[in-house]
Amino acid sequence: MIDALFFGVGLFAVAIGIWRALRARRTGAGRGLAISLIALGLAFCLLADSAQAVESEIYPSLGRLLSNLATMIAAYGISVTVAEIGGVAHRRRRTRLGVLLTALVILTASFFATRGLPTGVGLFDELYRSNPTLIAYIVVYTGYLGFAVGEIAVVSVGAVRAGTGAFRAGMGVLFVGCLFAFAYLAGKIVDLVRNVADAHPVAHVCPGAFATPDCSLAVGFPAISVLLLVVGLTLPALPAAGRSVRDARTRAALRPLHAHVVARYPEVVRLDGAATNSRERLLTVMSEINDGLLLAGVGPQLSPSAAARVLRSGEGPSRDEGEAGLADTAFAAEVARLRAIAQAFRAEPTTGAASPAR
Amino acid sequence: MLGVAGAPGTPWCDRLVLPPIVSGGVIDPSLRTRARRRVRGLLREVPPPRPWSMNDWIDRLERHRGRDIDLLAVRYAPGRPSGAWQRHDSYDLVAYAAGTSTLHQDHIIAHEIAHLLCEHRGECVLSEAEAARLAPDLSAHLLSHLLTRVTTDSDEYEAELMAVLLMSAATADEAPLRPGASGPAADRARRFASVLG
Repeated sequence: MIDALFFGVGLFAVAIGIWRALRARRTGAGRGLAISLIALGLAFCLLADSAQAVESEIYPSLGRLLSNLATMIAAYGISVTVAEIGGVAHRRRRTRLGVLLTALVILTASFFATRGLPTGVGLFDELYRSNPTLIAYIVVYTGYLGFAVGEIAVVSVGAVRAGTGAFRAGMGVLFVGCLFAFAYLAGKIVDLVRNVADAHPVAHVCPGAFATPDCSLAVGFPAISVLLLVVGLTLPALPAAGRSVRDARTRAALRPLHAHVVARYPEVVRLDGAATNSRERLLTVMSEINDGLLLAGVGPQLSPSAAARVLRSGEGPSRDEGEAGLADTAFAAEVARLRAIAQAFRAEPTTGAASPAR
Repeated sequence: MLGVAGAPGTPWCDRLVLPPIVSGGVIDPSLRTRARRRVRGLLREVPPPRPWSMNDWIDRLERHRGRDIDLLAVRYAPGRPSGAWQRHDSYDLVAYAAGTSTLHQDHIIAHEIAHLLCEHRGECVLSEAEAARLAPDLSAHLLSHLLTRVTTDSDEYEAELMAVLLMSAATADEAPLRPGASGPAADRARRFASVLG
């Protein structure tokens, strides 16, 4: 059950993170987000019971350390994202990296300085009293992660207030995810204090993610938190995905017209494969068609049917040809105009068509 | 021959750029990266206005560069370039085809502005005497983009890619913010939406 939850959430986060990384590579924005999601996903996969059993064979409780290190890197990704959102991504880059490295070193050093680490699932409950190094481990971990979660929570609240639609919904979900993360971190501190104060602390093994309140805080809440963070950060991208589909459909509708124009005026093709997203590809196609229309003497005042006739015949428009053009030539209207020409072009009989120029 | 719109027959120039055929040509892959980086930086400094207006964006660009850019609609004749950039001592002149749609005109202007921002100098193809013969009214030493020089395939590729990227930003959906949302929190939300979108 816990394995399925952790691997499920982890792999989902990694998949979304890889998608974000590819987008960040293309747009230059969202690198921190990609780091966070991939690292969070890995943290969960490394923390699954079956994964910990394998990792423990290398070193006792190694899975716990690796997972916590990955979580710290995810927190670093959040701080990079917050800096990017604040428009100060270029500032204090080394400081952020330095703080992360310091935290990672403290975590690793305190982990390896601890004696009697358990094999299998890395539960530290019994060790806090005898190993103060683990107290430093937990304090640094919760402090670093808590600060990052606090930063993104503040930003998400501001975005909920200012935003609309899917963006606002996503920010709301993100904020709730932050609350679950805070509960998890608070639970960790309470657990630490309780175990230090207890003369004979006992490790609590969770049979299920929500078996007890303690299990919910330690296992269920972080999983819910990451799930909500991933969903919250993905929801705002849905309108863009819808737009991308619409652009692809428009491109498909323009394809016959574009093919004809390119065959007739090969010089209009300037960008071979440089466009990387749907909008760039559509704009490239529209620009090439428009260049072709310009070369064919088809102005915006010409009706779609007249424009299609001119393109089919290969002769220039007659002086009295239609004035029923579209006045509004914004993007949507331009798409409509070119689609109408493409539709008329398909309907236009092909007999007597001029062979491509050149 | 391109002519100034509304003044048929007015000499403008003979040829502005070579047809930029890159199919089958070798384009340096770093051009793409460089173009994208340039446009990202440019849009950070000079964000596109909402709703989009090329004139408003050029106003912002002028303030940012501290140098005027004049736009001139010219009559287009098939076979001739649809746009041109001419550098003067105190301002830049961008010519674009008059007889096409507004979006296409914006694309042409964006292409020429990309040449301008990249300071493409092109390759010398005409002697001064030839340039003087072709354009007796124009002082040859003022011309950096027309007559005496033509841009290379890689210049055209870079300018066209930048134009597509600029127009992509120009036609992007508006930030999903409440009407009238302003201030630092709204700015942060806008940047967040841009990172997530």
